[in-house]
Amino acid sequence: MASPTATLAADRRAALLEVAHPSGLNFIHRNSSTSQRYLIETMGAGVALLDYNNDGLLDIFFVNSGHLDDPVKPPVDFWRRDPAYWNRLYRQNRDSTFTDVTKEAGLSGAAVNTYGMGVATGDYDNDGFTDIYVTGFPGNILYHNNGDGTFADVTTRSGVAGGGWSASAGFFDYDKDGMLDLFVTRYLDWDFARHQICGKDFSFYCQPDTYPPISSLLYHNNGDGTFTDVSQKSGIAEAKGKSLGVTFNDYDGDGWPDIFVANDRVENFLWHNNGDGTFTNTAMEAGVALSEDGKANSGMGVDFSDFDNDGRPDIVVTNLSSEIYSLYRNDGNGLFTYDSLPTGLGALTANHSGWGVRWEDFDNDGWKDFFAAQSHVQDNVNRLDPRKRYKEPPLLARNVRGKLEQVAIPGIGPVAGRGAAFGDLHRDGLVDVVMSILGGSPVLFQSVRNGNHWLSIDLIGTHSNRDGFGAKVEVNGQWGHASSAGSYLSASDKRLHFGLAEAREARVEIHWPSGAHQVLEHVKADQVVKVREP
Amino acid sequence: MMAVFICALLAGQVARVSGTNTAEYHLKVAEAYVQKHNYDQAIPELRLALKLKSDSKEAEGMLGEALLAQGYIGEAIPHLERAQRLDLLGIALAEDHHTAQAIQTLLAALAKEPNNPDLLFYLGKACGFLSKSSFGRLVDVAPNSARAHQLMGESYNAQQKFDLAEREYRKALELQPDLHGVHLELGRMKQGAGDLEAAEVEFRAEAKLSPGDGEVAWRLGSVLLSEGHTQEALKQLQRSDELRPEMIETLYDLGKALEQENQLPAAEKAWLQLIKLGPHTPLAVSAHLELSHLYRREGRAAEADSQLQQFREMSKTKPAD
Repeated sequence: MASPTATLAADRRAALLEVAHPSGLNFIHRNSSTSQRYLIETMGAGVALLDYNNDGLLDIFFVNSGHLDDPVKPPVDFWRRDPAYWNRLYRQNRDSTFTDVTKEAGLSGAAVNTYGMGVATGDYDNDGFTDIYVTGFPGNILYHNNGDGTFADVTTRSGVAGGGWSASAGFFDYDKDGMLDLFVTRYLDWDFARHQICGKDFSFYCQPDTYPPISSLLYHNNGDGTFTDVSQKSGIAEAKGKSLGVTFNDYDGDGWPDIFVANDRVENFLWHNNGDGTFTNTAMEAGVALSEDGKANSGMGVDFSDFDNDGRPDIVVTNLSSEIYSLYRNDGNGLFTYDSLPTGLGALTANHSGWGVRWEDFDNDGWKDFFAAQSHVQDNVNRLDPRKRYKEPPLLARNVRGKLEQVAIPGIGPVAGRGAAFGDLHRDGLVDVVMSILGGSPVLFQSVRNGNHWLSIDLIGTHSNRDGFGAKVEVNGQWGHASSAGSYLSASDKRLHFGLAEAREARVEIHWPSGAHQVLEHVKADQVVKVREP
Repeated sequence: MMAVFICALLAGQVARVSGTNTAEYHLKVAEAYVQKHNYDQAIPELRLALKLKSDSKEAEGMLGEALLAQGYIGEAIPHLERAQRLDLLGIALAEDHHTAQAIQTLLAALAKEPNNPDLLFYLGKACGFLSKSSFGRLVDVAPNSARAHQLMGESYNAQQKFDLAEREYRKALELQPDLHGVHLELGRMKQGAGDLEAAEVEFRAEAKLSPGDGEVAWRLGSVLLSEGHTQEALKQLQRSDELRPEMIETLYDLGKALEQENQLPAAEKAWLQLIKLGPHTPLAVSAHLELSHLYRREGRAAEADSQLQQFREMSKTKPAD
């Protein structure tokens, strides 16, 4: 008979995720690499998991990028009319296969000539159907979900077209008026006319330092299908960054959702929500602006959730190799401690480059595990440093009471991972991952079944926004924050997933953005519970 | 005719010298040529000066300088020796590949002029030449020795040919397992490649060979800290600090380890000591930021702001604009 210690060790070695090959999922991302090495062509595109038709099955939306001439000449045409360059929506069928419904959903082509980047999801008009916002260069698109399986491009009417080079975006209700607002990161103040070629003996993608920074955008939802750009009024426009990732949570527990923005070689931003429609950047004082030794890292993907089950949301940022990923543990007094080394994340990421990222409890043991899509930004990085690799397998690490232990993923080799979205695709109580690949086919990872129990919470706001974004949910001592934002250029399932380990029932406590407080006792495990705001 | 020209050129200097066939006269004429870098015309004047006054150190020195400037190095050296012009002699010896003698002479000259760019350049060049010739001889006389393989390893390492470097280092260790410095280099290579576990193994091996080496203790402590093994890292860093006090690299990591162990006063002390020892170093910049976080955690807001301001000033980072 194996000793308990040996059994525990074996459990820790057990696979958490494995590669799946669902039928019908035939998307290919096209970025059009050129000899000019336009920086935009190596940044990748996002993926979203959403239930667009409310049939209880998660569907998948992929952002495509576009065609680039080599070199690009004005007028720029990204060939988005060509089906090869369409964004794609795949509807999940009951048998776990997928059907490409892009055309019938009205998402074929692109209403404007954009090079696609990111995706955000949320029900901005509270009609019960998830809408889709797609970012890119030189503008963005808002697709309203008509509720009949189709979408309508409402960008012009809604006023959220943006401009310049947008990256990650997310819906959240910053003023708690019950309507989802929209935050859009912008990467660089760049266009093709200002492109530069970098490198002497051989060319490589220019560092972001080559181009000026630019401010992000905040749109206030007016409640009538239109938005107002409040970037200036809110204070968001005061700081120019090189922003790639955005995520939301209430880090200081004052009841107002705050914003964390990952910047590329510029200090990160932590926008504290002042509760009056304005924000103050507190990143430096809070200790999340820089690496431990004071360097502005190449911040890309982000997550803002409680990895150590102490009830306080922590922040993780993926960076480039040699920088290690940044984990900022929330100390509970508005301050964070740089915790990459003690948790083991530093050792696991010492020579890796990360993009899409999230803490998710893949084995339902009650501790959120760590997943990051990985790959260097330079496809010829080994010419710059032979110890670095361009393509990498994703990083998966088991969370053993706050310490990370790497777990291999069978069936996946080195890839150019970029975006990552998370959700229970198979309705089996296990969180799956869809990872977008630069210039390639996405990879779907499914969690490996074990005997642990789980609970999924599907919030339905009534006074709060209908998605319940911003709600704090406690389940058996674990905390979650309702949001589909985070990771890199991607949007995850809006439902909150909790691993319950051996518990067969749970106590659920919900703090709604409206201020409503709801407690559900003796909730049976292993189900998706729809909870309507009282 | 010549005298007329020189007289005009020097506007009175030569006029003060009585007679045209004296050592002083020829020296003054040569000096004027040297000032105009007209060495080929200065040389015969200086030879005449020495013929008339063979013990003139001034003429010896100037002739050595002129000959050196014209590339007649071998001929310049005895004149510079007699004139005791250490600076030019060191340069001439370095140019003439009398490397050991050149280094000695240049060091003596630098003692008087520590910031002379010419001397610094030639000292570096001479040392490089000596290093190259020593290594060349090592490979010639003992190509299969542990040291030759170590040398090859370092050469490949510098060229970023890490696989080849490791192969040579391993051969060196096969031949001489207790060879100092090889595990250290292997560890640094592994650390650079992000393989911290392998780096730790190498640093441990080096520490076993060199238990009294403070730098090795720091390297081991540093990699342990990166791996998240804080308590053991702390022990090694404290050992490093004892073996080699005032090493700022150790003090920085020691502060981090102490902070992680919640020994905040000791962490503060380590970082303040670092700043005192190397106030203008990059590590001091980092230490200011660390101290600002530490003070904020302790509720010492004014001190935190002050440290943050110093960090901002030294790192030239601005708040987001």
